[in-house]
Order: sequence, then structure tokens, then C-alpha cells
Amino acid sequence: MIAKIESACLIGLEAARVQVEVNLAKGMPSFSIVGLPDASVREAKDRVVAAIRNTGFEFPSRRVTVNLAPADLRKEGACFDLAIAVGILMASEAISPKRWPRCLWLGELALDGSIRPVRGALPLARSLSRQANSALVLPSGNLEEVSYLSGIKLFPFLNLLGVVQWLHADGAPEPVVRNTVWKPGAEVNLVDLSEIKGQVMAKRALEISAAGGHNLLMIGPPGTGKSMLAQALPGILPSWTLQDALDATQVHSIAGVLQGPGLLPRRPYRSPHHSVSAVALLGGGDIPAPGEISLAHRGVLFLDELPEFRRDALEALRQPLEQGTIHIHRARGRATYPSDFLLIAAMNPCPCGYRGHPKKECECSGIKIQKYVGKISGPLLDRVDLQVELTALNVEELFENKKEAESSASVKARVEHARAIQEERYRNEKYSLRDNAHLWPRALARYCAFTSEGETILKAAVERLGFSARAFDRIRKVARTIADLEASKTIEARHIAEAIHYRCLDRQVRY
Amino acid sequence: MDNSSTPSLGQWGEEEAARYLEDRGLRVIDHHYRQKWGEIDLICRDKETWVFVEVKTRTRFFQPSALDAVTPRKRQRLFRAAMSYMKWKRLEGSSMRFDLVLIEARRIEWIPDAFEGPSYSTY
Repeated sequence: MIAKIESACLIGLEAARVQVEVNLAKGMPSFSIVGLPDASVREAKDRVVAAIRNTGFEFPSRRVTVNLAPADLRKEGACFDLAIAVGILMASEAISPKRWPRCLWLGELALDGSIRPVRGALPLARSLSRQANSALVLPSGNLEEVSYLSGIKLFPFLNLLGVVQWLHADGAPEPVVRNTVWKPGAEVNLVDLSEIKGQVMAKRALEISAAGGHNLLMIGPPGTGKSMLAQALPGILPSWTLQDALDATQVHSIAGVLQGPGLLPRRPYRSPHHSVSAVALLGGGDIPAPGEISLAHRGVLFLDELPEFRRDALEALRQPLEQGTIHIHRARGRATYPSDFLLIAAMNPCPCGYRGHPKKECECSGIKIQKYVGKISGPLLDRVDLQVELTALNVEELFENKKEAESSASVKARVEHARAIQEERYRNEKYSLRDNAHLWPRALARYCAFTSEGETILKAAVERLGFSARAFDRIRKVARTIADLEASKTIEARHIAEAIHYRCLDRQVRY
Repeated sequence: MDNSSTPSLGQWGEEEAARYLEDRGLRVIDHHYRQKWGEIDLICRDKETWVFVEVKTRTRFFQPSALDAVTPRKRQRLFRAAMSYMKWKRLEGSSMRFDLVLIEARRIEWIPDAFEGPSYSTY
């Protein structure tokens, strides 16, 4: 009269096993769920009763108690429905399974007994696949996203009846899921680099940014192509791999924003409007949910009109920019979400936008400019490796012949080559190190040694321009990437000189 | 039926319901069990299960329907009476169920396992 069945729920990105115990006692017919269920779990009651009846079984008129253990863990979501239903069928002896595989049960029930896909199936399955001998019963609707995982057995089902037939059939074959070979979706490149006129320096900065994972800030008057450049970035980033797709998709899966089945077909590109709140950007809520920076994990976060963003939102970016993860703590729970994204920001040089424009006159007062630029704090700027100024196009550039400009495809080839060099170099690192931008101090010393000539230049630059220690490190990282783009083993003076070049906000006293 | 010497509408309905249930294999054990804290119209056995039946009788359809007439208060009186009956007959440990029989304009509808008891109650 008692049945035990295993299910799981998510805490952040980690799976927590949950024992679903069903006890049928004599007494007043009733049905209660205990073990800190939230509203959606408590509502499982009505779904389960209807699903069992509509599948053709009788719901026991007994005192049904469902316990979700451990009792101190808050359970949320509808993913326990299937486990509860199967547990009740077992406890009431409505079914007598011929097989009882050791597995975890996951699925939301519809009133007619069909099994609906659940939120967060991918992170759950991925976390379980790291444990030995895991098997998972899951909704067929979630199969596509988890089928690329290895090390986990999957049993997908469409409805409760299918589950019962599977448990009953003795020799019938188990539903086998082959891990399908994954192919990224077709790239959708809105803008090709060759379509952007002029801005050679900004294009170069974009290439370095893509090659080494460096954050980039573009400063320029309106209409110089800042947004176009940002849109061209996905086209030169390295190809979308399965590992990256899994990393990114699991965050989207938790947030419940996956469009269509399966993994994200391409790198996420998030461009939140500047009215975004700090919580929406970073993640949060009663039970912490991922924000824009986590949805941009392994992808691009484009912040257009950077000074227009709320200051608290911008300042809160500092820590995730440095660490690649964000810890969110709330009264009802805490979560850690990955937030390893490439930050691309764009801004005007002043409120009217025309400071430094060759033809138009800027109307802004000094105080206004200072206030505008001052919205972006030094610590945040320090974390932006590449700062590049865009100038308004002149007539010749506007009528420039198109074929001179390099296409995204050829830039991408260079970027991928530089990435391959980095991967090879950092392969034996203890902590996973992906690109130059994420070098930590000790590794920085090991990999970013430069020639004495370079040292002289850097010394002079630090002395004259007053770089902070962090800015100094950033320059070395950028120089490393520039050297990698040339496939040069050592960092030469010219690499360092170019890297210094991309710190225009540090260089200019007038800002 | 408006004559007071004839059985009341409720009693007539209970008898109709008892006949109806016996035709369907239930054994009627008791009629009109009544305590000051509650009452039960019919007490039956369905194999091993004790079935407590509430009968609602109407001569014709009108709103609110007979189903709505089983208010939470009425239900609670049913539960209390059922518990005291189980105690009295020393039936602790047998399985039980609450059914509803609706008789409206001479049409009978039987709803087995119509409501669940309060989750906190034991006997």
C-alpha cells in the first residue's frame, strides 16, 4: 500500500533527487501532498486525479498521502505529476509492473493523461548524466533537447497509458533513444562586414573581440554603424558547437524561453532595451530566475546607448563580467547561473551625439558631457578590454567601392584560427580556460610574456596615461589575442602598441 | 404528495435510490442514520467498501440544481455522521467512500466517489 518512486527538481542548474512516496491508508477518502510543495505542485492533485481516471484507471477512494522527500527542500513546478500518478497506480495495485527500471520520472500531466514537456529538462538531464547509471523517463516533447547527452538512458513517453503499457509488457523492447548527431542551425547574418562602409579600426576591434572574447565598447556619433557592427559580430564568431549549445540552451530551458524543440540553433544574441531593470538584466525574482546576462551565456550581449542604462544595472554587471557566473540570493532560494557572454556596448560621445564630428557642431556644455560620460564608471570601463572610437564617414568613404571591404567569412576564418591556437595552448590548464580574455593573473604571467621592446612601450604608456593595474592586465590580454591572430608565438612591440590603442577612454584626458 | 400522511418527498427519494443501488449490486445496510451532529441518507456495502450515500430529490429541474444543494456544511455533517457510524460499528480500518444520488424529475443519477473527505480527519 506504499510506493516509492524517484523524481528530481532543479536547484539552480543542479538536479536534486526527490523521493515521491505514496501511501494509501484506510479512512476518509482524501488526497494530500506534503513536503513543501508550492502552488503548482499542490495543483498536481487535480491533474493527477483527472489523468488517472481518463486513462481508464480508478482513482483509489482511500486516504492518499503523497510525500515529497527531502521535506525541507521547496518543490516547484509540475514535473512531479507523472511520478505521483505512477506511484498512486502502483500503491493501489492498479498496475502490476513486469519491469521496474531504476530511473527518475519527470513529466507534467494533462487532464486527458497525456504528458506535457517540462521546463528545465536539459539542465536536469545534464546534471544527472554526470552521475553513474542514470536513466530518465521524460515527456516526448523534451526528447529533442536532451537527446544529445551521453551517459544517460532516456525513456520518452507521450501519455500515461504508454507508460503503463511499457511497465506491463515483459519482453517488449524498451524505447531506445540514439544520441543524434547535432548540427547547428543555419547562420542568420543580418549584416556582413563587407556591407559596412569605412570604420576599418572598429572592424579590426570587432575581429579582436571575437578572436579573444574581449568586451568591446564603441563610441561614435549617430549613424556611424555602431549597431550594424554589433549585428555583424555573430557572423565572425567561431562556429556554434554542441558543448556551447548545451551550455546556452540549459539556461534558456530553465527560463522557459526555448522556442521550438531542441537546442538553440545559433549563438544567443541579446540586446535588451536601455530601460531594463537590474533584476531583469542579472536575474532574480522570488525564486531566482536567469536574467539577460545568463540568457546571453556563450553568446553576445549588446547594450546600445550604454549611458542611458540605469546606473545600478550597469554597475551590477561588474562581477559577472569578471567571473562569468552570477550568484543570486533571495529569501526563498539561491541560484548560480552562468553568465559568460561577450559584451558589446555602444554609445555616443555626448548627449547630442556630434562631439568630434567633422561637419556638425556639438551643442553640449562641458558639464552635460561630463555627466553623460560619467554615467559609465571607471571600474566598469576597466572591464571593457577594447574601447574604440568611430568617426563619421566622409564623402569618399560613403561612395567607396564595395569589393575592397573584407567579408565576414574571411574574418571568421582568422578568428577561428586564433581560437584554435588558444584552445591548443590552454588545453592542459587545470581550470577550464577558453580564451585570452579569461586569463587569470598567474596564467597571464605564464602566457603573456613580451619582448623587451614591448616592455619599454608598455612602461611608457602606463607612466604617461596612468593605466590602472587592471587596465594593464587587459592590455596584455588583448596583445596576446592580436599576436594569436597573426599566429605569432611571442608578443611583439607592435601588438602591444595596437592593444594600447584600443583604450581610448583611458588615453583621453578629456573624457 | 402534498398530503402529510403520505411519505415525504425525501423519504420517497431515498427508497428510489436504495432500489436503484441494489439493482447495481450494492447492499443497503442502513436507512436514515441520524445524530445531532449529522445524518446519512443511505449506508451501503459495495463489496469491501462502506458507501455513505447522500440522496437529493427534486420533482423537477430548477436552479440551483440538486448538486449545488450539497453545501460544504451539509458535506461536513455527512462526514461527521459517517465517522461516528464507523466508530459505533467498530469498522475502523475498512475502506469507505461517499456517493451522491440525484433524483430530478424522476431521473436518477448516481455519482460514485462524489467527494473526498477533509484531509486531516482520521478515526
